[in-house]
Amino acid sequence: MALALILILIVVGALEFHYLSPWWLTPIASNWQQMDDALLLTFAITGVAFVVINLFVAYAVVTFKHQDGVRAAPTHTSARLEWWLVGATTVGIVALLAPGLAVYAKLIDPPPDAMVFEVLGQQWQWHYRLPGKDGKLGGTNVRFISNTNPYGIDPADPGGQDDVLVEGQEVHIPVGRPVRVLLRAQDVLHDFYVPEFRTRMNMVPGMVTSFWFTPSRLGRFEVMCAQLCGIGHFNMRSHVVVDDEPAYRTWLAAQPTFAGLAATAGDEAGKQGRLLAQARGCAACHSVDGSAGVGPSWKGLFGKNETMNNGATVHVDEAYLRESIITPSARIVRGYQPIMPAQQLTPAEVTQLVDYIKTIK
Amino acid sequence: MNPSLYLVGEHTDTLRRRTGLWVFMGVVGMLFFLFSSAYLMRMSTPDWRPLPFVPAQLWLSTGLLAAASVAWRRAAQVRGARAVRAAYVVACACSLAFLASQLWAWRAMDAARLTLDANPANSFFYLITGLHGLHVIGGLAAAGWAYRDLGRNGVTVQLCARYWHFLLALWLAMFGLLFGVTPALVDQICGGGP
Amino acid sequence: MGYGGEHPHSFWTRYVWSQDHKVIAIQYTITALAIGLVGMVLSDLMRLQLGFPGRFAFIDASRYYQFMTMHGMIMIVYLLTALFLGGFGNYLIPLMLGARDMVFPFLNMLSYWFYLLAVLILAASFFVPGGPTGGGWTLYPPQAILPGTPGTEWGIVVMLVSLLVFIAAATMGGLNYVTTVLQARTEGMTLMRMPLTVWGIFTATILALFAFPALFVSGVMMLFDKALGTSFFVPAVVSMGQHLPHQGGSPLLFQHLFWFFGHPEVYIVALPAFGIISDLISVHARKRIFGYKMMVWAIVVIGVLSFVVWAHHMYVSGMHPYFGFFFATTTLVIAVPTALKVYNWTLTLWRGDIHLTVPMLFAIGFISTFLIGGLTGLFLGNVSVDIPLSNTYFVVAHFHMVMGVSPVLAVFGGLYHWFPKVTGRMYDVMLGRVHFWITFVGTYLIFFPMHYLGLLGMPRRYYAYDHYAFIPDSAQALNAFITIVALVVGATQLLFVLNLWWSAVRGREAGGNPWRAASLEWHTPQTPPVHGNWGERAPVVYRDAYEYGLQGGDSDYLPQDQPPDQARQAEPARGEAP
Repeated sequence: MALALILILIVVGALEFHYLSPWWLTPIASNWQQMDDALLLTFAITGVAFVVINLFVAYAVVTFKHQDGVRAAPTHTSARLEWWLVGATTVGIVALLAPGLAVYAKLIDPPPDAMVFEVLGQQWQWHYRLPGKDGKLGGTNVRFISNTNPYGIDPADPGGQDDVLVEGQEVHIPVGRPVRVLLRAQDVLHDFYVPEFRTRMNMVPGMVTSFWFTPSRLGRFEVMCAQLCGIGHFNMRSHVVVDDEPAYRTWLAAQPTFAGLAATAGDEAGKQGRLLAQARGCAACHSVDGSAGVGPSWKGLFGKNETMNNGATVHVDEAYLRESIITPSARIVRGYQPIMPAQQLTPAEVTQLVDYIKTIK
Repeated sequence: MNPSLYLVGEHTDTLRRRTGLWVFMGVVGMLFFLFSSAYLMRMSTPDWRPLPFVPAQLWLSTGLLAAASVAWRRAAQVRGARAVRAAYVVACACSLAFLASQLWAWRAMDAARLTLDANPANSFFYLITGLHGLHVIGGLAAAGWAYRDLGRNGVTVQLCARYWHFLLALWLAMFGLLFGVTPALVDQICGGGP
Repeated sequence: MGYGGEHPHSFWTRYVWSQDHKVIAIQYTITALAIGLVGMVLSDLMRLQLGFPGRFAFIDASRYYQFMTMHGMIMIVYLLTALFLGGFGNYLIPLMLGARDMVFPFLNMLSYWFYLLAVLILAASFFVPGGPTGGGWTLYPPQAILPGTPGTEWGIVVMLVSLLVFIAAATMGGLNYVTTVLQARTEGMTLMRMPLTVWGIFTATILALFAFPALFVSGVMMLFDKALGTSFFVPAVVSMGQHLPHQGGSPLLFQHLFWFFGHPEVYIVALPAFGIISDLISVHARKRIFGYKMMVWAIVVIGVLSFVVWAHHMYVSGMHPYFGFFFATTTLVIAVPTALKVYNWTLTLWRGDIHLTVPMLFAIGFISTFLIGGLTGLFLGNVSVDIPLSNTYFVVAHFHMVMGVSPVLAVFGGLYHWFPKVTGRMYDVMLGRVHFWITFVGTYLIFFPMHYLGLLGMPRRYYAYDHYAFIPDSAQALNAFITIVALVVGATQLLFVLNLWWSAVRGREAGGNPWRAASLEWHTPQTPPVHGNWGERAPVVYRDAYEYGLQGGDSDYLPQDQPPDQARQAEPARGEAP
């Protein structure tokens, strides 16, 4: 009896939970409403199966519970019933598969005039690149990746000179225009996932993958990495902002180009270090504006007193900075995780970084 | 002497041992099929360079393994403990020589600077020939274990013969794969599909 | 046909270096349960971090990923696969078929010791420099072998070596199970008279024999990439600022190989569970399993199809998009025979004579949890519905329900059900019922809501979820709730272990066939069965294993080995009653 009751409670509870819980799809921000429709259809069909079969079992458990003197029905099979059930199930399966595949056919067929932008994934930050005035992205190769060329753009390709390289962790796209996202990874697998857009794709080193969508409303959406990429996987964060056309154009005009970045000579203090910090992913965990991150902020770091996780106080000088960069596991600041990887850096590069950190007040 | 110590037990049927061997050969065949699939998939990347030449030692290896197969066949067919034992010794000797010849081929490849990590075709060469060699060693271990069975039990020798034919077939297939299947051939067959 | 083999005499040959399939089965079971408890503790540690982020300083991000990886690998391979095949398979196959032992007893014994070695090697990865690998149980390259992932020095190497040893063990065992089923059935035991437990384990073994090689291939190639500088899977990359010497490798190649193993692997776990559940329901509802023939065909068809669905784990991998159509179709097709099995279990209950014994409770719990687990599989198998859900908690909830909950309920049901045969004693019924209720209700409370966190878009394999605007605070509260329930359910499993151990030593005697079951294993001359199982004469079988529901006469069932002209014997078997 208790078993039947619990099964009924499970059914009732599941239905209530489904309709009343606050945890549901994010409000959609792309054209892929059909994907949500396919999902709802799946809920409907599987929901019916879930309710019917659980209730059937509950009923059977009560009705056919052992009573002294009563035996089970004699052996029987019904091939007809089984084939009927197979048929009904097949109908249900087709009802799910057909709409699902119809949407999929559209998902893999981007419009030829879609706008393009590229996401480059790196442990553990994002880089964004847009085609410049010439409308196409320059060729890239991993072997071109360096501190001054974090995107690996082929310097010999004229098409790459005007590519727009987004600084910082926020990319903008215009509302209402189909966009095809090209995805690359320089080290391990990543995945560019924005729940509100619904569609997404892994980023595979050695390949360029893609997906497409049309942003349907304005907003600022969080980007998450959705393919395990090491211990920083949970903190590889970024934003996509969907702008109206004028705001988008304003933003676009403010972004540097590949040629532009190379041209500005290294006259500002700490510039080499700044480029290095962006190229190597330091900026992903150490903010320069004081905001909280996975690692201690560099704002005002040089010269302050830091508390380590063992309670000791340390004065942040050049020696401490060097040690923190070269052997990050040697001392951990209180309240932070011991997850900083040891990067391969030349002594000159370490000096550049230290000099840069010193400039951030 | 505890008969349960025997790998296959004195009381188990010939049929059981035969079935067991067929299943095992199926598993090993699957293993090499999967390596071959991996080989074909990896072949499609632009950095692929086919192996430039066939080390002459591999022809010797092939001959030795074929000779071992023939010797096992003979051991399975003749009567009389002495004849069986003689064929058995020849088969094992040829197999050991096969392994030596494979190692010699490895040295030749290495000397030609076709090292394991230089190129994926090389990597597959060492990997596949190495695993095949390990299965020959396994066969020799089993044959060694069955030495005392030689005189009385014809089944063991038949099973060894069958396994060795299988090893030979595998070797011929892998040899053909490593040196005969090129990206051009694959394109022809697959018509340049996805 | 008498048994001419020698019986072992010393303590060592009887209980340690035993070639008796029953002893080997118990060795497998104890080892699997032990490492399974370790896996469960690891999941508790993960849940502590997820439920109360940052509260437990020793669970840092690196350790979290290591616990996560080891939890997954232990549960899937070292617990479930080993327990169903090496534990249940070893014990039941000869007994259910009327054989005296497996056909290759020495090889069988070796398989256990290789399995134990694999377990010990895996455990050793906790003690090597850098600790165990944190690359996820799926061990995807390049990250599993590049800096940035825990355990890339030694942990991943130890893990791969352990898996290779396990595969050797599984092959040795598998050869035994398959050959025994094909060649050692007693007189009258045709294939279509075998209990479904044997069909499930037999088919799963064939799957294992042909799927594990794919893991072997991918594991060896990854070892080579890691240790010998080859480029099977690693393309040109810049890792932590360094240009590595690899080039041209394909991460997707690993995924294809891994999932070619990985998908059949889940059926290697599910098919024995299906078989066991069929037998539990039939025996405890005193009714012939509905549609035996279709049940056999369903098992075989599912087994075959399981080899052509693998890339549904790769819909967002970047593989060629056209593959999505093919694999979505095959995946949804495999749902049909699976659904048929669910229908037939419920139809067996219909007009049955249902005894709600502890095994039956678990069997019914299986139906409910496997149902929801399988249904959510329809979401994930349909490529376009999967795309937003891939790598979210929806997937985690799905695979826990369908791999972690329902097969484990089948394990518990099976262990309780055959406990009297193995030990000659009955388990403590009240403890068993408490175990069932807490586990069944608890796992629903843990995993049902989890689907909705996935629908929301919370990615899996995240150490923490700091300040995401789209994740409401209530999600964190839910995580805390799930953690509490998980800890309670985890602690309850200790009750189970206690029950097994205490009852084995002090439980009341249960007789040879307390469930009045028809299948052969319940009709051994001694309980527990001794070496050789059947005494002087092997049994002869006259019918299949499901002759229940007989009307009139003293007994409602007919054992498989009872000659047709003999009168039905009434047995005063008491079942669970004291």
